[in-house]
Amino acid sequence: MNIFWKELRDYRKPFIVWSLSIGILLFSSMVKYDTLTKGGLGITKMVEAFPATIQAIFGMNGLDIGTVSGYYGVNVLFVMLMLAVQAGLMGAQLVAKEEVDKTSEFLHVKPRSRTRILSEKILAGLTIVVLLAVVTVVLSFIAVMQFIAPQEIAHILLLFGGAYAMVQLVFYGIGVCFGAALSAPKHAAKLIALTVFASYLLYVLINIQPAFDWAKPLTPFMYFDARDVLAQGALSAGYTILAGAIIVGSVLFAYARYTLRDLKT
Amino acid sequence: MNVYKKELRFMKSTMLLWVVALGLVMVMFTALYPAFSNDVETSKRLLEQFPPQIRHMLGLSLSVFFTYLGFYAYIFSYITLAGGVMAMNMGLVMLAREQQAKTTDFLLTKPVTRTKLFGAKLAAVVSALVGVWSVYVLMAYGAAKLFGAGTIDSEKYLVLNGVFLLLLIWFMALGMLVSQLLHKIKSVPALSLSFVFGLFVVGLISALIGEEKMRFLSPFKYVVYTDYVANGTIDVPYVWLAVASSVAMIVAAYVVYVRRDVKAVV
Repeated sequence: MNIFWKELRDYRKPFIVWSLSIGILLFSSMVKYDTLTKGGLGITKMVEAFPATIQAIFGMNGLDIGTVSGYYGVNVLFVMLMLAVQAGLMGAQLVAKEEVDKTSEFLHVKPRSRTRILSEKILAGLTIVVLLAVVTVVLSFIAVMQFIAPQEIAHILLLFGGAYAMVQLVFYGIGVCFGAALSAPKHAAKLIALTVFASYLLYVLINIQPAFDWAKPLTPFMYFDARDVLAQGALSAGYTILAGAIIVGSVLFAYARYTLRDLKT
Repeated sequence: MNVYKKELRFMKSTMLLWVVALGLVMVMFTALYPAFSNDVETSKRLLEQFPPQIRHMLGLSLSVFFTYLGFYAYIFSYITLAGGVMAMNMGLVMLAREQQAKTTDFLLTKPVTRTKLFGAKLAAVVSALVGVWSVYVLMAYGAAKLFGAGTIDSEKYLVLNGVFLLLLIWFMALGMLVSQLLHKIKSVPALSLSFVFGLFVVGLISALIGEEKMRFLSPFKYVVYTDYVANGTIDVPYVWLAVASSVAMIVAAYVVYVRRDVKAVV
């Protein structure tokens, strides 16, 4: 398990930085909840009659910022974006960095099979991803505690926690796949950056133009959109399966390629 | 001049890729304009059924979005986001290129001072950014005309895009500074994406909570595009802040660069 512990140690600092930034953002946003609730709700209701494009441009997203859960829901996308950046890039770098830093020869002469190396790396990343999701949920609890009794919001925050973890894992899985499967692993980080970026833009486009609804499965940010999660009180089963399939598929592909391909030296 | 030319040659394919990327993002959004102007008509009709006071309140803010520039000001946030990543990438790579290729000692043994190297590299990246930016502005204008934007207030259009150039320079400066503060750049996209998306999210949250102090932290919100299109107002202190902080970051990067201990390649 040397590789596992080494990777965990390497990602300790970034993990702390990401936890802190997410915490600061959540707190500074939730702190303002009180002042926003006064007035303004009548207009929200009226704007609902307008076409989707106009609503999107007005920043209306079908969430009622007059309730704690709705207000927290607005922040869900921001948190997801940051978690996706972290998970995707970590996944891509975990495997690709050996070849980029020219340390793969050093690593691969050790008596460890490629499968073993990849497994330990994936497991280390998985640990970080899950820990970060847990930290985010705990921080969210603390941030909303002053406005609502914990038992009233626990269910929703746990749901969002599940949503974060799924979105993180999708990007993590794709990242690992790029890092392990590409024959030019130095492009892995670039490609996952592009994937996160394109997914976010597609999310925005679908919100502005309902005619693009068919593209929802293409952007993980849409899978567990705060509006749907709050409306249904559950994570969409269909998208959970799709997310699971993407994760398993990309990890399997990563194994298949990494154990066979030529490593860059 | 050698370094300047060489740097530009290095960046040629990057520039081309970014022109294509920015163009794609811009066209995707601009293509929604015809549908948007239809929705505006519907909204106007809806508005007529509202009580007069509300109509007045909503009508004022809606009228901003009824023009092409109002729509552009909205999609502009996403274009600046992409541009920010580009500029920060270029800034990060600019001074670290030799370090990554392990050719620093080769370059520094040439009879050129570090100050001159810094100047030539900076000039090259600024030229690259201005180049991509100019092509973008022309493309965006063409696309607007193509998708039926009608007459565009050219002064506001240029000022808005001028803000884009300022943002590009700001993120380039940030990239330069970060590249000099770190011992080694492990991954350019990881750094630029974390910083640019992080600052973008800070901007989104500052808009949500309406907190001036937080707006100060995100260059994406130094100029509020919709406010500018609606009332022609720009918060001048914030523009100065952007200029001053860019200069400060470039100077700081310079100070580190000329004193930096360069490890020899063994």
